[in-house]
Amino acid sequence: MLSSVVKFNKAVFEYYVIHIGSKTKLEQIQNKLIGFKKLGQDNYPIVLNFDPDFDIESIKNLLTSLKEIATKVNVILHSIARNDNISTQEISGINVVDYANAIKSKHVYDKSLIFDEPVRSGIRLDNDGDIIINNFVSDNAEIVASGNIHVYGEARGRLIAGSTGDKNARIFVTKFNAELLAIGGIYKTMDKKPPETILGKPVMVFLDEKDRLNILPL
Amino acid sequence: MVKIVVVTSGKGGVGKTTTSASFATGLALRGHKTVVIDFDIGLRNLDLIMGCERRVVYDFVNVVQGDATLHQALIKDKNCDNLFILAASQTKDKDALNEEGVEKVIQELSKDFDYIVCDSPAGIERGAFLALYFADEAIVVTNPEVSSVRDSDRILGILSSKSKRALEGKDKIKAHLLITRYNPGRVESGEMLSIQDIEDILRIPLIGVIPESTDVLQASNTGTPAISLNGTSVSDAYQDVISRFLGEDKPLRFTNVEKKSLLKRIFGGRV
Ligand SMILES: Nc1ncnc2c1ncn2[C@@H]1O[C@H](COP(=O)(O)OP(=O)(O)OP(=O)(O)O)[C@@H](O)[C@H]1O
Ligand SMILES: [Mg+2]
Repeated sequence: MLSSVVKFNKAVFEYYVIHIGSKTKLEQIQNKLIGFKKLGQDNYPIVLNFDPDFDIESIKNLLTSLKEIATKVNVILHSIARNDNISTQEISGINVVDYANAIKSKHVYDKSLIFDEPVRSGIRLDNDGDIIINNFVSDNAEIVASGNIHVYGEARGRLIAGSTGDKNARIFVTKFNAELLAIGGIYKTMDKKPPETILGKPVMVFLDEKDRLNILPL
Repeated sequence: MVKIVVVTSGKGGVGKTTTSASFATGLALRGHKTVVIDFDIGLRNLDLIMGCERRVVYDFVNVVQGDATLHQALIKDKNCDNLFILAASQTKDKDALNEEGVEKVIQELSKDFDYIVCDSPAGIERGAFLALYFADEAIVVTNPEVSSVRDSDRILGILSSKSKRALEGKDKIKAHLLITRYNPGRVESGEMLSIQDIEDILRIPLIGVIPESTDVLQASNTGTPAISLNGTSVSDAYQDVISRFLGEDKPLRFTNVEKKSLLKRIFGGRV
């Protein structure tokens, strides 16, 4: 999951995090860094976030090549994000910093999925990021996003946002008639017909501070 | 240019075969050279409804598997020179059809025919998939009840994602909604979904509404497609479907409860 290169919200953090998984290729990282430079964003420090399957030895090995790339592209490797495998204060001269909280709460998703077709019964849409549907969703269809869900049309079916645990995710629909709603693992089935105040109306669904699922008419 | 039309539904027993027979007959009677293929391998229904079950020597599976030529297997309709039937096999199992074989048959038929009508089996498995895979247009047969509408929705999803047209990025399959076994009385009393309810869920253009009628049973018992039972509401409704399919504008009929005359109300039943 962490193999993609993810950007933090610049306004909050002022640095970029590169997630490195077992499938990430050095070439991908190099291209991303070249991209930063081209966009004039090379003055933001780079944070490396290694997948927990990497042990210290393999991180050290990788760092040798990553440093070469950084020098070649002329960017600065600022720090390494701490995880359960990393207990030292630094690796190969690069500081280890605890970003765990920041990474969980302020994730800006890599890619939104925009879907213009009807989502019919039996179809499941899945995205690591937001899902935006510019059409209707049928009963028995399933929308699963690790980020937010937007439906610009009638939303029946099952809408599951924050599927990997993000409790800040939200669901927006312009015509509400869902069968099931879930955010960050908290779900609600709509076995009864929803009340007139929300049925067929524009609504926003979110979790409040007590983890209760709220459906708010807009 | 040939047009390949699949008659499909997802749910069983909703009237696909009844519709395929009437639709193909209707097109043929208006001068279009038409062939109707039964994809329901193992059950073989279409030939009964078309009244040609005693003339089946070779079937669709024989042709797909290379045991017979198309020419040997095509059965000419007894009443209409423009109409041919390719029957299913009763003895083979569902896996007897394969994509390449079906494609070859369809390509060969495309040279001679204006319309190829594919009668799909129920479900969403191989036979149903092959029946819709090559389609240009689809007639989605739906009864006014929730489970049937749900299955039609599912089929519409498959048409727009798994058909040849979808996979090759061509123009989408044109899907038409056909509501069959419509009983205005039961709709009015709220036992069945209304036309509007169904359209709201499926959101594809309506091509017709076929009333529920005992004439259909009688038609299949005598091996006559329902459209040929002249003077019945079912026949008229299927004729309207053909007209609309060919581009004419026809108002809906037989969708309101018939007001019983005073005598009927007093004596009930037939007067
Ligand atoms: N308009 C109608 N009014 C009354 N009965 C009908 C009507 N249409 C179809 N039927 C009846 O419904 C039954 C199923 O019809 P048909 O065989 O056409 O359905 P099907 O969708 O092809 O079924 P299958 O899924 O098994 O292939 C038959 O007994 C037929 O006579
Ligand atoms: Mg049938």
